[in-house]
Amino acid sequence: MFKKKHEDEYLDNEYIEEPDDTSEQQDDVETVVGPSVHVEGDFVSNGNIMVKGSVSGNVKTSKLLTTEPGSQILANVSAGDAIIAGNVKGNVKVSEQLEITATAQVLGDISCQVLVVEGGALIKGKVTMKGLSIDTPASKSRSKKAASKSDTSDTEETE
Amino acid sequence: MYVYLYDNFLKKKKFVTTLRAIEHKLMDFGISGKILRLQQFVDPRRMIEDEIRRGVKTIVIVGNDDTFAYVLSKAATIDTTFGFIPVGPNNSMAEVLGIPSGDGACDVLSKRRIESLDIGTVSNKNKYFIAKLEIPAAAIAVSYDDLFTASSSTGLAELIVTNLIPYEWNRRWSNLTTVRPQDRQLDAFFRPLVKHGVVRKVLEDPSVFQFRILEVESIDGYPFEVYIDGHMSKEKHIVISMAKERIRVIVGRDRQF
Repeated sequence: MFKKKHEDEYLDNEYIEEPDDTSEQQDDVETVVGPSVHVEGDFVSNGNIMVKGSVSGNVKTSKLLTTEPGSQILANVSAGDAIIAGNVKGNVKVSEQLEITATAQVLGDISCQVLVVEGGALIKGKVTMKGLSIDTPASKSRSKKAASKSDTSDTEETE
Repeated sequence: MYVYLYDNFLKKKKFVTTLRAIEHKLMDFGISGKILRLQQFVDPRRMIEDEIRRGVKTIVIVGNDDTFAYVLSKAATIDTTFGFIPVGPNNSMAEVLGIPSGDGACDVLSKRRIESLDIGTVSNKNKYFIAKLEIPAAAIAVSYDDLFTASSSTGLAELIVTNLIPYEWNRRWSNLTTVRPQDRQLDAFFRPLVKHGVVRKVLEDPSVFQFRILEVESIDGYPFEVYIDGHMSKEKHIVISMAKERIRVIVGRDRQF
């Protein structure tokens, strides 16, 4: 009897759960381009991307991009973090850490916050690291005077 | 009011005890109802529509993955709540939905925890799929969300689009994907054919893409086979998309999404 009443209660007012927070699920989502797969066009993903084959077109993700030895990307790359072990012919823009392994070849400009290059990696291009500020004694005194006017941000460029 | 759709295979003697236990429990909960049996030449959509006209609020499918996929692919456009009582083997969708097999499913049913789920649709053919869509190795090019195309450097590739069942591509290592029927995207697994022997074919590990709209086109102009929840047809061009929150299903607490 109790159960009958219980069931009717639910029938009148169906129990629809609030959707769970899916942000954690999104983290697990991984897009994989296999070794025998060729992708053409702008390749955009909300999750991690792993490239084992070839991509002719821009690659964009806010998460981690991993390319394996033998892979090829022929366009610009934009990622949150990246581990490059294959060939990239295009500019690489990473907002956090970029790791270039020994098997990697990068032909293009690199922009990142933290750069890790393994011995044997081949790079040709301009490297720009954002968020770096080096204070010399002279610049310190100057910066004290200019502090009231505006803040400055320095970038270091190497070739 | 509940209506129970029994699959035809449940007529077998070995299921008598299970069905009796289920029916007793449903009676205990006060949610027992009319029992209809699915027949080979009877359209389940019509059966459901008739019952809804009589005031039925919940359609409960009793059977396995095939029964659930078959009924829902036909009745996906009907605005009602669906329940599921898994019986026997081949019930991976029930696991995803957090519904235990046999009379344990009656507890889930009585709690009426309802979730709206996305399902796959072959939009240019007006067909829905609940479990998966499969294209065996063929010369196909696949375009994702009008952004990029993927093709196989070996010429032939297999394509699997999953919805409510996890995709396992290597039984030995049991690579199972997670099921996300509420993420507004479908998962596509693109597998180039790397070796075509006399006895067996060897497929590469899948390339995985998430998409909203996917177009599959024949490269060589010949039609390719398409299995939509097990039903085969031959097509030259199909458009697969996601029907957002199309079905309302009673799910368990232990669901995988």
